[in-house]
Parts: sequence; structure tokens; C-alpha cells
Amino acid sequence: MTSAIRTFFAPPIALARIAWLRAIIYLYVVFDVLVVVRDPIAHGMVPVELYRPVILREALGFPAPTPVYVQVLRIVILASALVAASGRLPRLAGAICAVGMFDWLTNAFSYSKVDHDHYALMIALIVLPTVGRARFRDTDIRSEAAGWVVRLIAISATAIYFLSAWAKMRFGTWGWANGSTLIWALTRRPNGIAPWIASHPTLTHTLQWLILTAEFLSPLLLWARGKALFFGLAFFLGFHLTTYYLLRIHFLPLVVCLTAFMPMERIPAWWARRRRVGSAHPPAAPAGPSSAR
Amino acid sequence: MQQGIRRLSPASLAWRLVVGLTAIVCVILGTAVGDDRWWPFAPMSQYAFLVQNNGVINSPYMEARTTEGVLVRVPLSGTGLGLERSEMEGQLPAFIREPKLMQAIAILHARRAPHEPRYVEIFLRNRQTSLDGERTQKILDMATWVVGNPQDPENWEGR
Repeated sequence: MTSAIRTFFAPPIALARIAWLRAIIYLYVVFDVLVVVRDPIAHGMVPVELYRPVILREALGFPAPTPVYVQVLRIVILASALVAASGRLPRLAGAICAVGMFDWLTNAFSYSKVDHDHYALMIALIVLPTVGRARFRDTDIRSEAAGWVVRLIAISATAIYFLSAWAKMRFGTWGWANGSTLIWALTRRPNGIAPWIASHPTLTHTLQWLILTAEFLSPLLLWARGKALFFGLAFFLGFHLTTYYLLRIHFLPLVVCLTAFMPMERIPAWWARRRRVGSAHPPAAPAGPSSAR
Repeated sequence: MQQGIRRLSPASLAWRLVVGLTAIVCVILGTAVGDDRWWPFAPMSQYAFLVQNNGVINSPYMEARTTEGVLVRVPLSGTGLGLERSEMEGQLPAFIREPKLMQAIAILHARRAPHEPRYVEIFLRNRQTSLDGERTQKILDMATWVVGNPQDPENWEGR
């Protein structure tokens, strides 16, 4: 039993996976604060009457945002994320980045609008500093500490899908899949063929059943291997591409966390093999003398 | 060639299990019984509401009459007013219950666009589209606020 729990929560995984995850997630943080979640800068000017701090922000004593505070905070996040992405000072820079992003995101979500796609990213930022130095070439060193980080990010990402389905049942009831929520979304934020889809209720009901089923089944990703895992991840990536095309909603913070499922540490060896195979088979020589062609 | 496996000590494994299980329990509880103020354990509630097939689509928005007497749309966005439409919608019940809260909209506008004409009156309205075959629309007034001290709303004594 203990062994099963250990294998599930902290399987030995190559340290190099952490180096890859750090590069991807911390560089995404830079993109997130500069492009995706920019509200905290604007919130610096919003009167305090409209400030509704989330419970943890209030309990931990983070202040109401002011214009100077949010500008300084952004610089701290950018600097720490760039250092952490490079693999240097992984614990210190990672911890500063985690606290900074908690401040940044709780600021963004303290004005009565919460984006649930940032949950897995927040968990990733909290757990990544628990592993020390990890290099891209550490493919032969497997670590349970690294495995715990990878598993927690993967669990958090699937939790977003599964709990989205649960929330639909809690707030939308079991009638959700046969309702018009997708039509509502496609009507409010139409793009591409969205208006055409919105005018076909049978199609929108089918899509809603598909979404609901996939979200409820998403925890299976935690046990899937090989092709099953590949197709599961491809389905959710396709789902996010589709919602971006139709509604301009991208769920990027969740998508970057899905990389925890991928054995990225194998990429260099795979690439080297491809190059070796390529150089071992030079272009085929002409089959006969040129005069015969 | 594997160099080896770095195992966790029992204590290191134990605290990691506690942290992991706590996060899992909190995020499940958040969706089961929590609300948005529980973030990061808030319910995963985006699009988790029911729109009846023969129901309506509500699109709340704000308009304002300026000191020049012109009726303008309040630019509810991060780059416009500095507050998203979804954030206004999140506080919709509070705006309806206490229209005085819209004084903050006038203050924010004065801070963000100091050279534009100030807001004198703010209207919270809802464009309602029915999902019947006709897709008919109607505009509903939800709340109105006459701005206190419109030239300098920040220093209104009723604040």
C-alpha cells in the first residue's frame, strides 16, 4: 500500500524533466504577466470600494494594489522568473517568483472575476522550488522529489478539467449538457464559424456532451501511458485550440502545465538519433551511369 | 545508462504527501462548496451555469452622460476603464443593491482619462436577447447613479 502511494505520488523521474518544466513554466510566467494577465496594473488605479480580496490574500496580509506597488511587483516577478528559467538559484528565485505571482494573480482575481485556468500554474510555481539544481543533461538521474513535482502539476491540471465538470453539475445542474450555455458563449464572443454553430442547437448539445464526458474522464490521464496518453493530451490540446478559434479563450496557463505529462527529457536523445540516422544514409547514388538516364 | 535513483527520506516523503493531499482536498472542497473568494481553490465555474433553450442571454453594460451632455458607452476593459466587463458583472448584485458604488466608476474614469469630460450620470443596463426563433432584444434599466461632485468625484463628501 505504502509502495503504491509512493509510486503514484513520487515516482522516480529524470531530473532533466524539471529543467524543461522550469524553462517552459517560468518563461510562460513572463508572457503571462506581460500579455495574458495585465489587469493588476490597471487595478492599481481602481478605487478601493471595488476591491474584494480573495480570502488567502486577505489572510496573508497582502495590501490593496496601488500604481507603484503593481509596477514594482511586475519587475520582481519578471526578474525572478528569468533567473529561475535559466536554472540558476532554483529555490530562491523560484520561491520569489511563486510569492510574486500569488500576489499578482490574487490582485487580478480580487475584483469579482476569477480565471480558473491559473490553478495548476500556481501549484506548479509553489512546488518547483522544492527540487534543487536540475540540468537538461540530467537524464540519467531519476529523483522522487522531481516525480512528486511532476505528479502534483499533472494532478492539478486534470483537477481543472474534472472539477469543471463537477461545477457544471453544481451550478448548471444535470440539464447543463442539453442547455444553451455554448450558444450563450458563441453569441457573446463570436469568431470564425461560431455564429453558424450557435444556430444549430443539436450540434451545440452534442459538443456540450463531448466536453462534459471528456472532463469527467480526464483523471484517466494520470494512469494513461504511451499512445493512450498521447491521444488524451492531443484531444485536450485540440479542445483548447478550438475554443481559442471560436471564442478567443486559450487556457494557456493550463496548457503549459500539461507539458508535465510529456517526457521532454528524451527530446535531445531522440533528436541526436534522428541526426545519426540521417547522416548514416547519405543520398542514394545514381542507379546507373548518367548516360543511361 | 541509469546513474541511479535519488530516493526521498521518510520525512521528506511524508510532508510531500501531506501537502499534496491538502491541495487535492482543498481544490475539491472549493468546487463542492466554495466560491470565487477561495482562489486558488475557487470552484472551476467558468461556463458552469445553465442557459435554458427557451431562455434569455443577458449582456449587462454601462453608459454614462458626460458633463457635455453626451451619452457614451463606459469602456469596460483593461485598457479602457481599467475594469473588465466580467468584473463589473461579478459585482452586478452590489451595483443594483447599492447604486452609490457606481461613484467608483466615475472616480476611475477621472483617474484614467483626466482630459475627457467627466461622468455626470451612470446607467447600468442589460441587453437581453431571447433564445426564441426571433432572437428579439430588449434593453432593461437595472440601476442609475447621479455622480456626486462630477468635476472631482474623488472628493465627494458622501463617499
